[in-house]
Order: sequence, then structure tokens, then C-alpha cells
Amino acid sequence: MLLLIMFIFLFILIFLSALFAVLAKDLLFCVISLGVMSLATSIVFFILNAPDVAITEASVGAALTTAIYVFGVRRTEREEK
Amino acid sequence: MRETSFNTGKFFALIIVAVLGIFMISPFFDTGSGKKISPRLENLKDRVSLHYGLKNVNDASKNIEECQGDYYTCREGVKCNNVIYKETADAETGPANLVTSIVLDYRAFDTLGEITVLFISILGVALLMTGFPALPVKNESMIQSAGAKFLVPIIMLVGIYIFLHGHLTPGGGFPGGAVIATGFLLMFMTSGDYNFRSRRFKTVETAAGTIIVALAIAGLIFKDSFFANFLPNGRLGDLFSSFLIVIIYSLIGIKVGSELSVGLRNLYTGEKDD
Amino acid sequence: MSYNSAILLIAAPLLMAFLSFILGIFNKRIPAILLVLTLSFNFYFSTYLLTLVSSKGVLVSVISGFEPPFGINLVLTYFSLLLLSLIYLIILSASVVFVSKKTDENTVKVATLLFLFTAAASGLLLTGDIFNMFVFFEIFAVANISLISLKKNKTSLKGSFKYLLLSSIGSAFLLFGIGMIYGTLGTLNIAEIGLRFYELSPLTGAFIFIMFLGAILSETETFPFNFWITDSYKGARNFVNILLGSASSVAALYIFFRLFFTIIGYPINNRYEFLISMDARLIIALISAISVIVSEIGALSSKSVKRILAFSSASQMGMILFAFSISDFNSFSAALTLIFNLSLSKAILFLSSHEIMKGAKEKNIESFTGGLGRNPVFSALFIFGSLSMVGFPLTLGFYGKISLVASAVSASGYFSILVFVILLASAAELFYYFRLMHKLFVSEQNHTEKTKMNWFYAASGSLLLAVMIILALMPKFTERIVSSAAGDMMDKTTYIERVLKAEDLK
Repeated sequence: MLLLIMFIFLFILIFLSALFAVLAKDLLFCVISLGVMSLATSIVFFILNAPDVAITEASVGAALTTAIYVFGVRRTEREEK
Repeated sequence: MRETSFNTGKFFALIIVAVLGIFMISPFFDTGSGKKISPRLENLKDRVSLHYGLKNVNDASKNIEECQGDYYTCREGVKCNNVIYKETADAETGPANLVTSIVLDYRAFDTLGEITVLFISILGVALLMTGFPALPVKNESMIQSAGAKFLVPIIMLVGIYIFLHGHLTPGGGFPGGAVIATGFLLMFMTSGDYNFRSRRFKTVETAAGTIIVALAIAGLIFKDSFFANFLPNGRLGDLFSSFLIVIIYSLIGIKVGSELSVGLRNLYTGEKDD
Repeated sequence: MSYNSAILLIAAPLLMAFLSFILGIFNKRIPAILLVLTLSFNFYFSTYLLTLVSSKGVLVSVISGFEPPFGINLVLTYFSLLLLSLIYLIILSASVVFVSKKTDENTVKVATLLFLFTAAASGLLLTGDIFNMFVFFEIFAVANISLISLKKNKTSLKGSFKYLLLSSIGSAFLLFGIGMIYGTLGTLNIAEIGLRFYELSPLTGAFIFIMFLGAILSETETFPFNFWITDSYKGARNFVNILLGSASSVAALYIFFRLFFTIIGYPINNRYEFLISMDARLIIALISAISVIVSEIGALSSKSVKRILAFSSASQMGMILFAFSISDFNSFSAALTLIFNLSLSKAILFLSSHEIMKGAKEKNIESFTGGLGRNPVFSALFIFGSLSMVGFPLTLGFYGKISLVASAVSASGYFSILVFVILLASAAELFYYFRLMHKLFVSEQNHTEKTKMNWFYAASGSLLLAVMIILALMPKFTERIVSSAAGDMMDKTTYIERVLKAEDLK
């Protein structure tokens, strides 16, 4: 039961953060919400008994990709036109 | 809540994504005759991965070769050998972690390809960033740099543990390398006086790549097939077991860590050697 | 003796790619010279394997000691090795052009890219495992993207970004298709998938078909994508154009063949004779016909020479796909002849047009004016290349086009109607190539000064030209290799039997 509630919460979090990443005007916020999405996905992977994928997703998706996007935003403009 | 924007372009993009998503989900509701995807693993018997899990691939392929009948019944009639943790010695693959045994033994060539994908992407970034002006690295506040100096050794330790222990517990070269790269990222983002030498990292990285390919070719020389395991496997589950896989995973960890650090550094300040 | 050492075709360039940074510290020339040496070795080794295969049939080479379908394996067929030798020849000529350039800070990196390009092309053509093919597909795509962006001006970055978007969407589709195959059939070996594809339910089969189609259309420069892909030719450097127009196209056509004819095939008559279904073939034929028409219109309306050549390449690809879709013995041999013609003559055209337009401010048709006086050698090369491209008699293109038309007319169904598209396209090609050739002879000023001769370009062009002339003047020889390869393409049963070691499938 607890697992189910956690699952539903994570799925709602993933969906909302993905939607927010598309809609937000401030690109830095998009990037951060993508990072949140990756972190939630990695927890889902862990619950689904795939710890290998969870570690990779957490380190690559939540940390490195976010950093790369932030560097991209730093070189260009922060607000979407 | 921050300001959001919604225009016709995004609307059509969402519609296209929705249509594509419905199309992708559609095979799950397939009711036609024939094989289809199913959430329960009904077709485990025909799967190649069944033999990966039981570590009896060589027996299965020998069985197919010996019996001249139908191809599938030959594969099903393989006897099940018992794989017991901490007891089985010299199995056909050493690692206790099933994922590692697939990634670095049964499908090692794919992993070599994935390393190459990462290598070529970082190379492309370096080529792209050569002409760009270098952005200055700011000196951050004392709290940040002190906190980073406290955190970085722990992050490095976790990364090294992940790839050195990859044959026993979840993890391996790729995630370990990524964690190490996160450590270097924290280091050069917080302290402006950190002397990051790209050239040394690149040398380490390409040397590791060369050694990996050389080890694979050594398999071709000693055991007549590329990436063949020519070192002893030891007892399943021991720390000192499956030696070749530990060596290759460590090399991959070093390679991926230094590679990603160089790539991130290039994106941060622009490409330059030293 | 086992044939496991065939892996060296992939391993040697890969090793050199990793080594070249360390060697480049000492001297920047070393990787570039090693590139030519490695390619020569690969070309020699692949032709050696070709002779071996022609006497012994399909050979299987095992990686990491696990027999197929459990491990990854390489399958050496006559068809793949023939195309591989062709690709090595083209990369060799492109790398001769690359070596002639002055060294700068990027030389080592570009040499590494070319090594990886070679390794990826070898992997794509040799592998017998579909996920492995995906991995090499990715390496190949990233190598192409980085090579296009080398010039780093606005056009080149734009073209490279377009290619990046298309190819990443394409690889995602390919990955979905592969995932669906693995979820249903539980295997990744191409031969085993080909054996069991008919067991899938129709909707799942259609899903996989559409995913593969979406993946491969951008690589083969077919209709919806040909406008975006041609931009990437315009901004790229010269040797990259040769690689993109010839080597990448050949590799893309090979992937197309493996995905649609080896994997998706339904049993006809008995269980082990396969043919792709008529509906699927018609879809491919229609897409390729539209692609031919659209590319010819694009080529007729554009002014930039590189764009014209790119569009003509796209239309030739459409013709080859049309020949594939007829899928009988004659059309496969027509397709192979056209592949030879496309790759060799397109490389010559890109090479010579670059030299003719040298020094001109705008690289459009006008810069061709008086080319014969300025640069007679490369003008002659250009004329020969375009004659072969339009299918002038006694050239390779002539043999290819005539056998394509003959097989299309004799085929049943709508193919005999669609052949008019091919004929119209040939007429359009005639128009714009002769317009370019006409410009070469016209000269406005009386005194023309000769441009300096570039011997490396001449060497690489004459290497390609020699191969073309040999193939064109020895029709018996060409017919023999082409018909062996076409027979190999038709014979899916032997492929499956040899890979799965099931001698008595028949």
C-alpha cells in the first residue's frame, strides 16, 4: 500500500515536472525541473528492482545533464522569447 | 509559481507527442493472434536472457549443435546447472551481479561501443568549443568552496567503490565514472584557483581506452575470440573473483570519469589544452 | 581455422582512435599518416575476406566466445564485404585529401573522428546483432555530426544541428523498434529475429516496421527529410562531403536492407523462403518515388553547386530504394550497380567541383564559368563523373539505370507505372548536369590563368576514376561481382542457417 502511494506520488511528480519544463519561461527553472524529473525517475527505477539503472540515472540525469544544461543557459540567454 | 508561456508551436508539439505516445502504447493493447508484448514474462522459455541468468550459455549452444532436430526444442532441453552464491567456482562468467555479467561478458562488445559513443561525443564537444571565447571562472564564497573541499573526497570514494565493486553489487564503470566526474565538477565550479589540467586527463583517458582494446585483442590471441575471458574467474561472490572484469571495469571507470570531467570543463570554460 | 580475426576490421581503427591522442603529442602528422595506413590495411583485409567468402559462402565470426544467438557475432557475407571494401576505398580517398591539409590544432581530433567513422562503418556492415548495429549507428551519426560542424561558420553549424536533431530522433525510433523486438521475441540476433518475425502479431509487426522506417528515412535522405539533410552538405568541408555523400549513403542503404529485408520478411510458399510483404514494398516504393521527384525539383531550382549535388544524391538514393522495393534478383543487381555508381561518381563530383570553384567568392553555378581553361584535369574529372551520374552509355550509371528500368517494367503491380518517375528524373538530371558542364566550356575572358594543381586531390580523384573505369569497361567482371552479391541478398535462408548453425532448416 505504501509502495503504491509512493508510486502514484512519484508519477505525478514526474508528470508535473516534465510539463513545467516545457511550459516555464525561465530556462533555468526548466533545467532544474528536468533534474527533479530524473531524480524521481531514478527512485522509480530503484523501486522496480533495477538499482544499476537507478545509480546511472541519478548520477547522469540528475547531476551531469543538469550541469551541462546550466552551462548552456550560462552561455546563451536565460529567458525564453 | 514562475511565469509560464504557451503558444501554438508548443500546442502542436504536445499534440504530436500525444499521438506518438498513444501509438507507442498501442502494442500493449494488441489483441491479435501471434506473439505480442505482455507484462507477465510468459515467453521466458524462448528468451536468450534465460541462459544468461542460469550461466549455461555454452551448454545451450553445445546442445543446439549436437541435436539435429528442431532449433527451439534443442534450446529448451538444456539441463539447469545450479549456480550458488559463494559456492560455485569457475562458472562461465565470474560476476555475482547479473547485470555486470551481461554487460561485460556476454555483450562486452556493446559496452566497448558505448564507451566509443561517449568518447566521440566528448570529442565533438571539444571540436565545437575550440573557437569559443573562454568564460572567466569566478571565485565563489568561502562557505561553498570549503563545503566542496569537504564533500569531494567522499564523492570520489563512492565513485571508486561503485566501479571496483561492480562485479558484486549494483554499479559499474559508467555510473562510477559519472560520480567521479561529479566530484571534479564540484571542484572546478566552486574554487576558481583549482588547477584543472585537461591534457593530463585526456592522456589518462586515451591510455585507458587503448588498454581496454588491447585486453580485448589479447583475448583474440589467447582464446581465439575478441573479448574472451583469459583470466581465472574464481569463486562466485568473492571480492577477488572474475579478474578480467574487475580490470576492465576499473579502466572504464577511470576513462569515463576523466572523459566526462574534460567534457564538462570544456563546456564551462571553453576548450584549451592546459 | 576460425574466422574470428575478422573483428580486426573494427578493432584496428578503434585502437588507433584511442592511440592517436597520445601519438599526436609527439607529432601532429603521425595520426594522419596512420589513418591512411590503417585504411589500406582494412581495404586489403576486406578484399582478402571477400575472396574467402566467395569460395566458402557466409562465414560467422564469434565475439567473446559465446555462440550466436547468445553472444554478439559478426556475419561475413559477400554483399556486406563488397560494400565495405567500397566504403574503405572512399574513406581512403577522402583521407588522402585530409592528409594534404596543413596541420592545425584540430588535426589530431579530426583524424580520431575519421578512425571512429571507419570503425563505425565496419561495425554497421559486419555485425549480426541488432543492438550492436544500433550502437554503431549512434557512433556513425555522432561522427557525421562532428564532421559537418568542422567549418564552424553559420551554415555548417546549422546543418550539423539539423542532422543532430534528425539522427537523434531516428536513433530513438530505432531503439523503440529494437526494444519491441526484444520484448516480444526475446532475442537480438538478426538471423533469429528474421527466422521468427512472422510469429509476431500484425499490430506489433506494423509498429516495428513504422519505427524502423522513421529511423532510416533521415539517414537515407528520403522525402520528408531531404530538404533538411541537404543543408548539411552545403556547410561541410570538402572531404566531409565525400564521406557524407558516398560512404554514409552506402552504409545507410545497407542498414535499410538489413532492417527491411533480412528482419522483416514473411514466409512465402514454405517456411524458409522469405519476402517482404507487398504492402510494405509499395509504401517504400511510393516514398522513394516522391523523394525522387522532390529532390529533382530541388536540384533544378537551386543555384549552389553543393546543393545541386546533394539533391542529386538524394534522388539517386530514392532510385536505389525503389530498386530495393521491387526486390527480385535483377532489381537487386541494378541497385548494387547504382550504389557503386553513386558512391564513386559522387565522390569524384564533390572533389572536382571543389577544385574548380576554388577562389570564387560565391560557390554557385557562375563560378564554374571557364573552368576548363582554369583547371583542365578536374574539369575532365567532373565531366566524367556527371556523365556516369546521368547514365551515359558505357558508364556504370547506364548499366544500373537500364537494368532498373527493365526489372521495373517486368515487375507486377504498380512498379511498372512508377518507372515513369525514374525516366523523368533521369531527364531532369541530364538537364542540370549538362548545364553545369556547359558552364565549364564557356569563357568570358580570353586570358585565363591556371589554378595551382593540387596533387593530393588529383591522386585521390584518379584512384576513384580508375576503379570506375575498370568497372565500366569490364562488364563481365562487374556483372559477376554484382550477381554474386545480389544472389547473396536474395538468399536469406543460408544466412539464417549459417548463423544459427542449423544445417537442416530446409
